[in-house]
Amino acid sequence: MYRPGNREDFDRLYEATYPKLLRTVYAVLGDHAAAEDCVQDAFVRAYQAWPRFRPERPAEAWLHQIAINGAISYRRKQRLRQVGELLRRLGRPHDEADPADTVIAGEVVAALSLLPVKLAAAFVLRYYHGYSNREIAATMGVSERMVGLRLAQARERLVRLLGPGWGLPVSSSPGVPITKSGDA
Amino acid sequence: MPDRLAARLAAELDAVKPDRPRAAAARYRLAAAAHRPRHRIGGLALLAAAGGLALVALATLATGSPNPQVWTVQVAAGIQRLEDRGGLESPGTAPPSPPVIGAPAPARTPGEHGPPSQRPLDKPEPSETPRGERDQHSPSPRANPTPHDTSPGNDHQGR
Repeated sequence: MYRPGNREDFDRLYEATYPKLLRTVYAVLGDHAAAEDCVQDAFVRAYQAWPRFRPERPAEAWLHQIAINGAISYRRKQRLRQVGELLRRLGRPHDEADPADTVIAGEVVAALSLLPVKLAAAFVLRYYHGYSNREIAATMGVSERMVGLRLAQARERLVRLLGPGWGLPVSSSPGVPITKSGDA
Repeated sequence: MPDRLAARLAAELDAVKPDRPRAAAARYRLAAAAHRPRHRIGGLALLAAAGGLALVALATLATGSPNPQVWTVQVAAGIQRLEDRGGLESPGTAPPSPPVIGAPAPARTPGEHGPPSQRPLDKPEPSETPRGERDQHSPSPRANPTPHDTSPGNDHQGR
């Protein structure tokens, strides 16, 4: 049990949940350094809100919510940066990709990082952390039905990205385009 | 449930092994430390404000008035009272000059509305003046006897 506003308790919470949050955000962003940055920022925001934390709420889910919101903001800013870079490069000869910018991630994480953050986060919470749909709904502030929809969309997009070799039934619904996440 | 996908995801994420998180090096600790001086200044300002309020409340209780002018008048009157009693006289200080003793006299005129605490200053004044002189100038009931006082003679005459 964590006492709101108590610094020692927050320190314990940090040490217990940091690896889990880092893996979630890493799976969503596909970038280890960016994930570390987002998670540290999430803990800064959580520490500011710590005196108002409701102890009846699961602390880990609360932190996940803050970290996922941070990842959504990060993705938006990243897209704006990419648009800026694209505008600067207009008219110049095409450069080779800088190896340092290459995302070094596994196949599934790389595919997840191409999904909207909300879909990828729901997928990681469900299939890696083992959250129930209800817990995911409480964490993300949506209905359980919405969680089910997001999980279905995430599976469908992952299969399209990874190929049919993964043994998942590929949905034939045409409404899910496979593009870099734009709706975060 | 996409078992294979989940197993692969778990393998990829389990491979991420962050250093053991130490709260002492966390960003929130550093951010809190950076903000601490501000809180300290805020606390000092709060203390000063509380002390000021307490002083105001004490002064209001002691003088019975929230007006700071009244407080200064009362303090001056208190100091004067001490001087009159010789409480402030010390061997090193200069001897009190007569105008200091007589200075509050204009403030003691009966027509002026002063605070109630100035009244005790009026007490020594009658003793300084001779009794006979006071009786001549002051319009006391004895100087102008009422018809009731002189009535015994008149009553006898009437009767």
